[in-house]
Amino acid sequence: MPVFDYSPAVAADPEVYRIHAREESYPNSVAEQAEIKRVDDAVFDRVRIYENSLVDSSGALIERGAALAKDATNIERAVREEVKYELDSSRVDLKKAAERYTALRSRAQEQIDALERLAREAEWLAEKANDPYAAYRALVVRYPALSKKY
Amino acid sequence: MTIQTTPYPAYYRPRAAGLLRLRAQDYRGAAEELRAELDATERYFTTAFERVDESSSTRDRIRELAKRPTRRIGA
Repeated sequence: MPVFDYSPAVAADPEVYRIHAREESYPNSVAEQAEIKRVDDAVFDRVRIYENSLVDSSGALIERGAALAKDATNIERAVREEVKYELDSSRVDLKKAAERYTALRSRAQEQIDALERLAREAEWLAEKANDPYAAYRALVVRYPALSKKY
Repeated sequence: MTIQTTPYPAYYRPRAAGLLRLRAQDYRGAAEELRAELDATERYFTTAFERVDESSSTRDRIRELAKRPTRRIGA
């Protein structure tokens, strides 16, 4: 059962609970240490769940990235071998080369956009993974419905 | 007095964040390489177009011009 019960606006930030646990009066230091540990562990358990979800998301992102990078390599090779090298020949059919290039270029542009989107997502996740506690605090402060009593 | 709390004992922090940053660089690099390949191919097109222009002989050009409808000044 939670010791402290704040209004939702204040209660969202788990750090508030941790500080409050340290500010309270206790009959003795054993009770004080036990309560601080209880609140810290409860908060850290929540953060751990969040941290694990960040790690899962990172793994999924890296898998998607591997597939995307492989596709990008294949398109790059196709552009090089089916168009660029062909253009080096004096007997190239320019109309055919232009048609093939237009098709490949469209796929390449989609791939470029997807890779750059994934890079932004990876950087966003890296920032969270670098400090899961701060990221969790920011999350529950922004969405107090996700917070809980400790 | 400011109350100090103990830091959260993160399991993965440096490794996960570092790996993600490296991957982000890889993805940007792959996008950049693909973009560079497109640019290079377009330069090859430019060269190929120039080659075709140069290989058209004067006779080809006269023939092409002769096929066009005649336009007379004041007509």
